[in-house]
Amino acid sequence: MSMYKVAVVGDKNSILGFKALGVATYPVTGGDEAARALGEIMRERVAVVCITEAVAEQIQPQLKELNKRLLPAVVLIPNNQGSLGLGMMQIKKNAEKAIGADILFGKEGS
Amino acid sequence: MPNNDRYAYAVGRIRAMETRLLDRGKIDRMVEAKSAEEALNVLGESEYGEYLADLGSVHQFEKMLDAELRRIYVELRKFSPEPGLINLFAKKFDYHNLKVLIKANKLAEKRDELLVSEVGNIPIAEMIRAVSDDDYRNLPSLMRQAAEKLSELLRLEPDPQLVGLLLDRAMYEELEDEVDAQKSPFLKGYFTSLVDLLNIKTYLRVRRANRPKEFLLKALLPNGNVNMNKLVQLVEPLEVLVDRLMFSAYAHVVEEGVQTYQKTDTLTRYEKLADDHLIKYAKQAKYVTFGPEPIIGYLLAKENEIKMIRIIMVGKINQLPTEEIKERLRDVYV
Repeated sequence: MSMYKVAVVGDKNSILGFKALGVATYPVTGGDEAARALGEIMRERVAVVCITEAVAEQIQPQLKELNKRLLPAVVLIPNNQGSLGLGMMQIKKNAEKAIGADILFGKEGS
Repeated sequence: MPNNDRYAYAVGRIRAMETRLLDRGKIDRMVEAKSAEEALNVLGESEYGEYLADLGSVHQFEKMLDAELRRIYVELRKFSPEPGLINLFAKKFDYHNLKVLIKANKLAEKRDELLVSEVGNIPIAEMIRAVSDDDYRNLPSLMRQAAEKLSELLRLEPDPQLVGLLLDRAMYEELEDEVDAQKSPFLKGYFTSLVDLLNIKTYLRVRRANRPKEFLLKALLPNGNVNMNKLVQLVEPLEVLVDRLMFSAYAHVVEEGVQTYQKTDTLTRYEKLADDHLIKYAKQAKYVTFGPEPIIGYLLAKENEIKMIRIIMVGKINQLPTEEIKERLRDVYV
């Protein structure tokens, strides 16, 4: 049986803990490595890929491309130095796309 | 008194090598550096300098530490009059490699990047063959027995915790034999403290994980002086542990370490104090003119130094505040 996998991309010290949960971890140190890791992930059966915000910032074009595909779903997570607020923004955008209004922050039609 | 004249040359070499250990000043400069790059550059004027040019980025600092560790073991093996002394300290790398290989084998993965090569006593190729063929006949007897038993147990129940429990126990048993064979009271004292401090930590961790007494008995090493199992029950408050060790050599480690642990729920402080205790013990070697002590002392100083550089670099890369890095740093040997 082949199950879909969960992958995490980010700096080593932020994501190593995920390994204990059986998540596939891809430690990267910069945008180039992250793009390469993303390429690898797309070839595997991965349903959800968590990317630290700090890394996601460096690979915006690739992520845009990825967002057009059905799978994997991209989830932005904070790294060990805290959140940049990108993840929340992404959720807001997705909610708007799905239902046409920003119900999370209550600003209708904005 | 054993004949220690044969150590004259080796101790001479060690005294010269000791002058190149990082002193507190350099360590402090690394900690105060504004970035990971800057911290690494402080090492430019030290023994680590020669590796710096080959590092593509600061994230590869582990490569430098691996290379230095290898260089020290190769160097010491060349001139130690007693090769058994170095082999003894290298044993942990053999066991580390065996653990990595057995776990990787169980997961059907290849994790060769985690192996430590050319430092241990057993060539990696031989180790890889033993694990992949499930044939441990060429390994030292205690390691072999443990590996065979482990292989059997893992077939019944693939519990990764067994790997550490069984192999650590075998390693310390093997170490105790070899420490005794060296007939060095200094080495024996170090080994006993190492095991005792480890057992106290194991006790705290087992307690924290709410595991039963049977598990504690499996996890404690029998090679120390303090019998944690008799000393204090898992159900008794931690103050009892501190009280009972009040008059032991570990009083200050346990008192402050356990207090901080109760407040913060982490063993970081305990681990630092335990390492400091061991380094302080090792420092006695500086006053020995002929004998194995200076070699042992130097090796421990170097491993301590490598650990400190790792703490600083990981801290700098993750932009930890300087104060927090300082709290984690160990004392230096020099």
